Amino acid sequence: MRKRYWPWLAGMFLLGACAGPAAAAEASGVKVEVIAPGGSALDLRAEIFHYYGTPEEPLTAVFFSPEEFKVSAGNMKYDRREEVIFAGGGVLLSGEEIELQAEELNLYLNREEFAAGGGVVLTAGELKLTGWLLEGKISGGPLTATGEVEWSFREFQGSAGKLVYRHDEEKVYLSGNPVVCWEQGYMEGIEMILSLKTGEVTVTGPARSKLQP
Amino acid sequence: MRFITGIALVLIIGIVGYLLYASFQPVHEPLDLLPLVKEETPEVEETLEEKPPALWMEKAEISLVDYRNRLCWQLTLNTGEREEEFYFLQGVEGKYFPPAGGFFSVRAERGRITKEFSHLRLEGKVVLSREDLTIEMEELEWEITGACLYGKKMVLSNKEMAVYADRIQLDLDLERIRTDGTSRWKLGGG
Repeated sequence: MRKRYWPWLAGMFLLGACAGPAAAAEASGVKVEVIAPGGSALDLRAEIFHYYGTPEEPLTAVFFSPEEFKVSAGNMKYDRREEVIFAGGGVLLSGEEIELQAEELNLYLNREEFAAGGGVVLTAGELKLTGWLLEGKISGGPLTATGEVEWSFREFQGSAGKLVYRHDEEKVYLSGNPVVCWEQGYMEGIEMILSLKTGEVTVTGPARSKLQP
Repeated sequence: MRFITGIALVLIIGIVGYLLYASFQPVHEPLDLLPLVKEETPEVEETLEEKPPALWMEKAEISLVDYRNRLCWQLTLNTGEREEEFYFLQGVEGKYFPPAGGFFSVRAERGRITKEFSHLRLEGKVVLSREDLTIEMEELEWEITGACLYGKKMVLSNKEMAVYADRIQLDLDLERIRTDGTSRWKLGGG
């Protein structure tokens, strides 16, 4: 008996044809509302949007997906084809649990990643850190701060070359000559792990510590 | 006796002559200002009623070209009336032709064009629409030598976004839009 392949092939072709646009729509599924008090510009052909604030009032952009967060900035450029947002002129990003101040902020919406630079200040619960660059995932995932990082958590404060904040683990990984100080002393090591849950600091590798009674 | 008869004859001739002279003189009536005003008013009304507008159009089609003689607007007017410097339009429908090709459908409640056809202003609810884009405004202005269209109170919408702005500037292809003052944008999410 001769088998009929063409209905299967046609079915597969139709399935592929439908799945393509659906996937594309899903990929560019960012939903955002912007209020630009200082004017704006739109290039419909290039799909590039510019938004401006005023010296008195910054622009605001509220993102509803993938996570709900709000960005205030002096100016912002949205490249819709590349799904990239560049915000500058003093940026404040505030989400459910974090607040980030930076001179500039790039949001890579396709990859759900961001990079903040020009000097950053991050506040996440009781953890506060400053550094030159902060990168990470928009929706959860680790945040990595580099460049003269200084941090504080409860009674601890310290510095490091690199700080990785893992929200899911509730831990902060410090490297690059990390130092932790508290009222009675300080400790230096190669790597440190700060537990935000328990407040414990774990030092790995050769450690140097000074304790004052 | 002859002397008296002569005098009487002279008097009669003088009286008859005066009467004849007086009868041929125009009649002078006393001047009364109020009746004069009353009389003039109906004359003015008669003049307005009799004199039709300089140009009155119904269901007329107007084409506007730019300084390069390229067709930009093709509009059908419900009514149009010329008054001094402008044509006043009511019930405007038609097409706007961007330089890049194609056209936008145009609708406006009213508008006006300068008598030289060099400046168009559409007012009321102004809608420019194409398959992929709809732009609604309260006011839209175009000039024969201009590189932009100017609008007020705009709502731009397509299937992916909605933009609300008070004052806007559009390039002639309606692809580049610049807003002044506060604008509100909703992107994505239908």
